[in-house]
Amino acid sequence: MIFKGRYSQTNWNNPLAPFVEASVRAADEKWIDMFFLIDLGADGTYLPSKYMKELGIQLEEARIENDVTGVGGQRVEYIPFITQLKFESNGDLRIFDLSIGVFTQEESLDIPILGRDVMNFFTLLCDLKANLVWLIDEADRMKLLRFCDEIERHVSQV
Amino acid sequence: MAVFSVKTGKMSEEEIRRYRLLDEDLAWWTENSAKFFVDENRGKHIAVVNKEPFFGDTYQEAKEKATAKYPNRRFVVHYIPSRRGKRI
Repeated sequence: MIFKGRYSQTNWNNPLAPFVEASVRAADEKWIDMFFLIDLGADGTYLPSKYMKELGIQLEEARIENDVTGVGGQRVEYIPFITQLKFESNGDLRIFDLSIGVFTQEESLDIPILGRDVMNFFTLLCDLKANLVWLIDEADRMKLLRFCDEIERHVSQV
Repeated sequence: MAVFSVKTGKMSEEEIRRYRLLDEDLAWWTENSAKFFVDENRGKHIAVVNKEPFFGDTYQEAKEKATAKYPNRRFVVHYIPSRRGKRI
């Protein structure tokens, strides 16, 4: 199974970054489509505060945590939201049961980020020039690794 | 954040059809997003449906405009940051 993403902009004139589409299940069971920045520097998957209403999160009833740190070392508040994350491909889907952090402050984050909690389940193949962003699962990963072995053997013989 | 379990499944023909339309809009966005990164769009949310952008000052506003015209389509709401800057 290969889930395909795309390179896209994050801000004015910044280097393009890899994104992938995935859906998050809201409290009312509806799926919310989001375009996630793939962030291998992030330990977890996080959403901006603007998704709180869409996901049906009640701030006054939620448990708030603040063990996330980033640049500047500040600890920012987020709500751990137990939900599902769905990836779709050409007829196949993969659903993760997980906890996603939803920040409570607008300035904490502006776009959804997909961290290593999820990305460690995939092999990531990225190539900006080909606009190729592939999230490869276990079965296809083995094919890829065999192919990589062949390339390595070929290169070492040259 | 933590993953508790992972499962796989199959999409129905209708799910595949709707997903392909969403994917076409994402392709359109990535090909055309540079033209939306202009000063007048700072802080705007942009929903893209059928290769048509719907602007809003909030996520909800962009979503409502898109849903009003295309009630049965899937879409993503994109965001143009209010400040230029680097991300790490």
